[in-house]
Amino acid sequence: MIKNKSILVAASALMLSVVFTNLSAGAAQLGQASLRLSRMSPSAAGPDLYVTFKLNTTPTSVAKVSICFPATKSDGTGAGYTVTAATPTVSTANPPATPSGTSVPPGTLTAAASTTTTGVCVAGTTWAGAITVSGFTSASLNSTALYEMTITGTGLTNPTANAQYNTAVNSDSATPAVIDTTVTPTYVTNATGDQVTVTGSVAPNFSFSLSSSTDTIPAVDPSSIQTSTGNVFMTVATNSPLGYTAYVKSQNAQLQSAGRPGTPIPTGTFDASPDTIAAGTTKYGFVPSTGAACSTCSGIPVYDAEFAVADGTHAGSFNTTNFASFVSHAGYTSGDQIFLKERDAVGPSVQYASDYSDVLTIVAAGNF
Amino acid sequence: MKRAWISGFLLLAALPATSNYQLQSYGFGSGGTANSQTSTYSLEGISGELSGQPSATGTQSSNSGSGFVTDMQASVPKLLSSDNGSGVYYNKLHFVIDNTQGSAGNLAPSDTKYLISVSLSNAIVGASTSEFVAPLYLHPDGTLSSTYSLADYQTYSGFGSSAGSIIIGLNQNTHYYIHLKATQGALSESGYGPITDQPTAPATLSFSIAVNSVTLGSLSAGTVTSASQTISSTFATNGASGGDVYIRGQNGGLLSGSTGYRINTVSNNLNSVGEGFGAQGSITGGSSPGYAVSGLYGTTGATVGSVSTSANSLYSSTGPIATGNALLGLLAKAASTDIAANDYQEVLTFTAAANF
Repeated sequence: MIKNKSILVAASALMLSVVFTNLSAGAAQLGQASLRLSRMSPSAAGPDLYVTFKLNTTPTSVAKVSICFPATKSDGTGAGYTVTAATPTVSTANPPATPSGTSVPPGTLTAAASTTTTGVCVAGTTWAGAITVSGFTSASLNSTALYEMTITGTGLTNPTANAQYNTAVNSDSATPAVIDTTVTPTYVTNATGDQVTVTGSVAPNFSFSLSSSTDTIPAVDPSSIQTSTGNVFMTVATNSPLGYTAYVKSQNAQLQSAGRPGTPIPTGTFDASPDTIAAGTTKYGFVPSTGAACSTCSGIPVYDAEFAVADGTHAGSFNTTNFASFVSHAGYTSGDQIFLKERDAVGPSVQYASDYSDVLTIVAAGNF
Repeated sequence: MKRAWISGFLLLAALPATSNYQLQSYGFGSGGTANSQTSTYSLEGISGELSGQPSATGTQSSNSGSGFVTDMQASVPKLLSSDNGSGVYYNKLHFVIDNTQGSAGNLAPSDTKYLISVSLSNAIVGASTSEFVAPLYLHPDGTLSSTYSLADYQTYSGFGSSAGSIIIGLNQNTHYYIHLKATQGALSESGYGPITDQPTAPATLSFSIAVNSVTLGSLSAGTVTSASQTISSTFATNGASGGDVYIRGQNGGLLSGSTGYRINTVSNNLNSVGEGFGAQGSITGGSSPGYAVSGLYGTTGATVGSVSTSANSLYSSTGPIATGNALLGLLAKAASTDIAANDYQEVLTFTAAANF
């Protein structure tokens, strides 16, 4: 009888159907999450992590943020990350330019890497472990900021196989229990890896020049010492890390006059020590010295002991038979300017003449 | 629905007038009185009609059969289509409501409102309700929760018309079961329609480089030298906010281990500086729109971006990128004073990350 009575109460039927449930929707998604490992190559040990995340559900309840590392590839096969117990360091300073607009999460952050994932990672997935960051000032967290942090000393080892791995970034309560979770895949590269080695070489170079081919020593008499005025300098440049060495050889080892060949002015003794040039004593020598400093160079020119002259009364003597090194520079140089001067003195018996001369040959070589 | 109807009926039979309901007229026997109403309620009271019999299976439900109830309910609705963006949507789903009704394909009245229920399981409470065991309800902002209100009933237009709408906040690579019910005007709410099984896509990220060594050769003083090889890379992600490929150097330039001299990396035109080392990128064919070289490396000619020891974005996308192909060129210039050595080297490390 009753069932044949059809009564429709449209509005009230609608109201009656609104039976509010209290079923859990499970962990929701973070507003955004990103995870960058510093190395993507297989088996890379200890990669740093750069994590960004935007909270979603009840941000002021978030006490921890966990990065959960899977024990398998994303397809559930193979092996995943290796997590070892460690105490990583968390830094929020100097965030990278990309992504932009990140914020420093409030709190004094600390981290722990562990193979225990209960509560901090979503149950039902096989996790290798997690790095959990604690110390957030929960009351100051919000769901609009894109927070960032760098985690070093992770105790993490990348998987061995080229594949995607479904890492997750979670917000956790203090209990802990997962509040929100976002799968944030990471990727391990193929055998080519994630690095490119760039190699190149810089060809050796060496240059040498003399500013002039003639030099003149002023007229000398037994009461004076004369030195050429510095008309000649050599310029040497090389990119050799070992620098260069310059040599000198005197053609005659003496100043001699064609018209007065009987009274040459000889060089001193080549004995690793400069000779004294004294007025009234006949002697001739070589006085190199440094001019303008090199603009780009390493080290400075160093003179051989024979030619290390620091005053106006000494001069180096020539090797009478061979080239003698007189200066070296043990490093690269954009250009060393070395003045090449000659110095002499004569005794009263040296005959007057204006054509005393010698020919010096200067050579230099890069030390490659 | 059926239970609600019976409850209402019993209430009406016992108490013709209560604080909640007032029956304007009713009768027994050969028929009742139709279309009695106040400003709050309307009542159809007709005897001799058979009620529709709700039925449900794991994938669909309907009210069918003879009887007045079927005639006076809004048509049972269903989705016209649903998708995960061709494998891109890992945290959301797209759907379009079918706003036709009846076998003739007539359009449902525009004021028809729909409530969409979503579940991780296609299990339903029972044939009488066709409600999911653990239902979540779609709100106007695209989110789901386990409760709903009248505000969650939206029209076809409210759900985006033929363009459809989006359910957000979903888990990646997960099956979601969707069905909906309708109400319109004075008609009673329908039962839930057929269940649509729509999975979200898996979240994805991949990256590779094709070479692991590049030779610049011999650098002559004052001459800009380009490496003969370029570094090709591929990047893909369906991260909703895109992703980046990053580059960093180990030495901050070309470093000679034997001499300790370094040709520093620079961001400059190498023709304008005495020495330097840097990189310039380009996107190559086949790449999806939106994949771009980051500003520092989007250079040409002899102008390069520096490869510092901190990671810098090299290529980026602000949205999902199906294919990201790019080439990276390396250029260097030595000065005459750069120390001669054949072991100048830099190690470039590439990393990729997406924003999910």
